Amino acid sequence: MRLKTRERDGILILEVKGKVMGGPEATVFQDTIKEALGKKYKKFIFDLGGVDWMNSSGLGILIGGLTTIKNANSELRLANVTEKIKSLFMITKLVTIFDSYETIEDALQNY
Amino acid sequence: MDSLKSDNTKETASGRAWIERRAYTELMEVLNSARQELQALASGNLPDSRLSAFDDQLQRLARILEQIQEVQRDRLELHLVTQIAESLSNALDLEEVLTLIIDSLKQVVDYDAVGIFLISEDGSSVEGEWLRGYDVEGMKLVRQKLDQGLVGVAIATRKPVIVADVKNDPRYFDTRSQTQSELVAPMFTSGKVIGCFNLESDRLGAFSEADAERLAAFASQAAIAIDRARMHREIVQKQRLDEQLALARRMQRDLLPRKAPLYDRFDMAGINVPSEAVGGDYFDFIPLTQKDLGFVIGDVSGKGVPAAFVMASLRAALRIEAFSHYAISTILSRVNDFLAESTKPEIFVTAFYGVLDTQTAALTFANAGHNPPLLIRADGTLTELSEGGMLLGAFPAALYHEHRTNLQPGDVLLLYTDGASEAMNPAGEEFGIIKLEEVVRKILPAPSKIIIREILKTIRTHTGSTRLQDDITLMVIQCR
Repeated sequence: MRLKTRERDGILILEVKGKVMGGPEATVFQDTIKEALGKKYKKFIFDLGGVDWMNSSGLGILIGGLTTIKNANSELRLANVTEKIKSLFMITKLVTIFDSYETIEDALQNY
Repeated sequence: MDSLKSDNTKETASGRAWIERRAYTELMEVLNSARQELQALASGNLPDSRLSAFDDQLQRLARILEQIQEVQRDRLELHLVTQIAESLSNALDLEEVLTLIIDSLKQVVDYDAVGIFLISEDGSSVEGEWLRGYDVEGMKLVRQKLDQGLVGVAIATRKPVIVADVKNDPRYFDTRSQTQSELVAPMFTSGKVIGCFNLESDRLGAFSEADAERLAAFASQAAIAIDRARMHREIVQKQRLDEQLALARRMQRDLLPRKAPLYDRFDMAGINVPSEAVGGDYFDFIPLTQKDLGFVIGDVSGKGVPAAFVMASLRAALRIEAFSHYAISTILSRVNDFLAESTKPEIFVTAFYGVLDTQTAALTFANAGHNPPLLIRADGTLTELSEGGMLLGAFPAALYHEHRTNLQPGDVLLLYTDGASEAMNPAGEEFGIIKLEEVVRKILPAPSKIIIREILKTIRTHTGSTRLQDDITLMVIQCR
């Protein structure tokens, strides 16, 4: 998993790439979000377009990220959700929890 | 006589015996001629020039005796080294080996303080040190010898270092005030430095080149023993871990049903194949009443030991709730809250829980984010049982809805975990739900056990390996 952060209009965009499979990656992911929350970001977008593969632990990372953001009274949107992740969201019913958008531009609209 | 000191003859036992025989022959010659001289002396027939020759003979005698002594000392040393090597070869415990080494060392080279340092496999740090003759403060400092003192020099140059007077050597790292001289020798196995001997003496110039040679020879024996003990320790540690895992595996197997319950109208089977010693998959048959059978399949996120803990919690929570409540929606929401409270949000469980009335064949169920079980009807239609609610353990207070359907004779219900549907072939293609359904349809009519066996066989053919990438759990319930 590779992470890259950038900012647009005060919104933190977190680009997630590669294989997302949990383990030590979960800590790195959490630390990145906590650092951003510490910098007073209130709105986040996870850009999942570059995710090649995600297992159940990887899904756990996304859930952990969402929980941390919500607990800090902040908001999260997902963008570029791949077909594989969409199908995982359908099966697990996470589709009802995650606010997903086709593109970054869509996610930025009215945010 | 100088030929007697030749090193190449001294090295071997036969060389030593030859020297010894030569020495004894010469000794007899000298003694015989000395006796003649003495007889001449007693008869008063000895001129002065002969007296000085006699003196020469006596000096020669002294030299021969010295050589005999040297040969005998060599032999004793060899005997000692052999003895030490033998006792070392019997020891496998690292602590025992090092104690033996320190004990034996004194017989090879005398010292007042000794430290044996072992370097970690990658050579980056001191794995341990065994010390004798240092006070508490010195012991604290001694570790620093490794990169600062003569020990560091010996390791870097891979050669023994003798310092006759440590006060005159700036490389000496002072950890012991009484020390006057020092001898350091590295230890090798397979050409790699694995550690070092550090000998200190309270006398000036206590260590000779011969001592360094003896220490080097001793060190090579010690290194072999240490290496073997280290390997033994690794094997023992791995064995212990394997035993623990095997025990955990047995315990987890005890948490899974040994066999499916028997009913007139139903034929059932289930299997769990973990990819590691223990896993995060779960299935269960829970007979709630004479006619009502609860059944569940679940998959904890992640694998191995952490997942196994959550699986055991899930089982306990579900079984308690299943016996205390009638409504599946209540059971699942209580299990969800319990798991959410017990684990981090990253850890979750997907599960399908159903209750089958084995008399009327009515099935009530709720799917908490699990791969939808496939209901393959006798009439050829396929229904995926996906209704229910959110996966378990990530979001407290999630709501679940139960659904109802009726099973007909010939209907087959297949429950599976993603280890089955997502098993990949070398090209990266998943086994898939379509193939799962196909395998079942192809083999029907067949007992549930046979269906499961066939699915596993087909998955293994697909992956081209007997090694699983993920835990696989399968359940089949057929209505007769």
